[in-house]
Amino acid sequence: MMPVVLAQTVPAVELGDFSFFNQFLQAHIVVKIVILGLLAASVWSWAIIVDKYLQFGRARRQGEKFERVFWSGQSLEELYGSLSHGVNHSMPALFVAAMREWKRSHEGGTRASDSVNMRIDKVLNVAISREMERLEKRLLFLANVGSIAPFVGLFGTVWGIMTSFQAIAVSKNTNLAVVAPGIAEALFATALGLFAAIPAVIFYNKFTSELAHQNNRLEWFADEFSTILSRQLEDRS
Amino acid sequence: MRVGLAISGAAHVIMLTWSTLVFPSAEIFEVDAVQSLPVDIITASELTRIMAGEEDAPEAEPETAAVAETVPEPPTQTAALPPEQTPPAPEQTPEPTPEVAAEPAPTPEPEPEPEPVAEPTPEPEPQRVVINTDAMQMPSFRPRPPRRAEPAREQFDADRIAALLDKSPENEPQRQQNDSQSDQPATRGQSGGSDNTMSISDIDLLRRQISRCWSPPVGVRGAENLAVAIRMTLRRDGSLSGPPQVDGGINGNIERVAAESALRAVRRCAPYQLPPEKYETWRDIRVTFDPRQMLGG
Repeated sequence: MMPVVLAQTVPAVELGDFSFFNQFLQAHIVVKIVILGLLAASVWSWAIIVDKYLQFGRARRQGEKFERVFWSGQSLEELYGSLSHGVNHSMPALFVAAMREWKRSHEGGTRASDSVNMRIDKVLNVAISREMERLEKRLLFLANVGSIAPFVGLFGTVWGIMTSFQAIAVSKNTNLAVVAPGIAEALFATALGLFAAIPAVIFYNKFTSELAHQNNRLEWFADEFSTILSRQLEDRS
Repeated sequence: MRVGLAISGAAHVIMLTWSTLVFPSAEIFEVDAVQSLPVDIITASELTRIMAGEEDAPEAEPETAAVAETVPEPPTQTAALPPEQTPPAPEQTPEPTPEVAAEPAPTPEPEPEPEPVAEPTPEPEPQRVVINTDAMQMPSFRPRPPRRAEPAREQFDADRIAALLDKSPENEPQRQQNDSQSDQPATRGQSGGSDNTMSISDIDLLRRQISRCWSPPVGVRGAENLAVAIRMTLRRDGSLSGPPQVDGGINGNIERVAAESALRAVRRCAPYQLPPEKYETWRDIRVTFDPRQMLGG
């Protein structure tokens, strides 16, 4: 009976060999591209998230402040005078656009109140859509990242697993040390994909609901303001 | 947008550095070293057919060894023991002497060689006899036997290879059977071994333990046919739970002697070591004391 000692093939793994950075450096070029792309997508989508968060907060605060001032009984002319010189967004922008149109037609001395009403409505609609467009801008990117990043990560995973199987085929060895690097980088790609996609999806949903809310408020304000203006026109005529 | 990009980029850089700091490397997975044990897979019958050996037994290859010993010194042997070796000589002389007389060439030598293979007792007697008788009958040609032996040795070598080749697969079991049945002197790998074809190792274990204490009735005529069946009941620790009994009738004194010896053997080896997890199978057991199987050594 021969005491056969089966050789324990322990791969010479140096310490720190499997940090994220080293793992990235060891990865296949395709996986590298995938990882870099996902990182860029994550950076950009977080930039959008921060930007949109600030923008929506600003819009909401401006709207509330404006509504308070608007319904406080202050004269519309004075309010227009105080707002018309700056750059306005959201509700003040609507107000300024409508007032400008109203003033122009008023100064022109036209009597046709119907056409003035129509024009004011149109101006308000345009202002609303411009405002919505401004708020909606770049939200599509979040949606894209949320839906595509997992697939891109999965592509990296498939590629990594492919390389590990090729490693098995080449080395004719199913040792885990042969398979593990490929699988590790593959899973790293998926992790990054999910890392980019999850916040993108969450904030996309949050921002779309906030966008709808903002849209509603602008619509209500536009309706109310056009009613006020048309009443004024009828009173004057 | 610039603010957002700056914040996002900074956050990512911070997080990546943090992750490389917190997870600097994969922790080495500590696995207990697996000790690999070489395992030979053998069947139960192989195990039970392993036979105990005796160290001082003579070699199992009698022909070649005997030739090597006898050939170098035929003159001294013949000088020392002529009268002792004469008795076999008359028996064998008809065979070798005419050939020797016809021509002193070594041709007759190979002929006795195949005989041991065919015969049940592979003893080197015929060869030794040939040399001795030859030397005895022609003392004047004393230098001859060595001269004859030299070409003979060469031929023996060739034949030895052939004999070994012939022997290995077929004749080995034959010889074992012969040895176990007849009263041969102990050879290596034979003494105390019971070459039964039983492959159930438990029964074989019990048989071995009993046969150690059993002195079978050897001197009796027809001892091979004295098979006695003993029925014994055992406790879990291997001791007898009741007196063993002879299974079947006894007729005649000789059979009674055999039965007595068997009963004595069963009582004397009383605590048997048997696998306790199979107690149900050996709680009530019937053992046949067959001298043909147990007489081996």
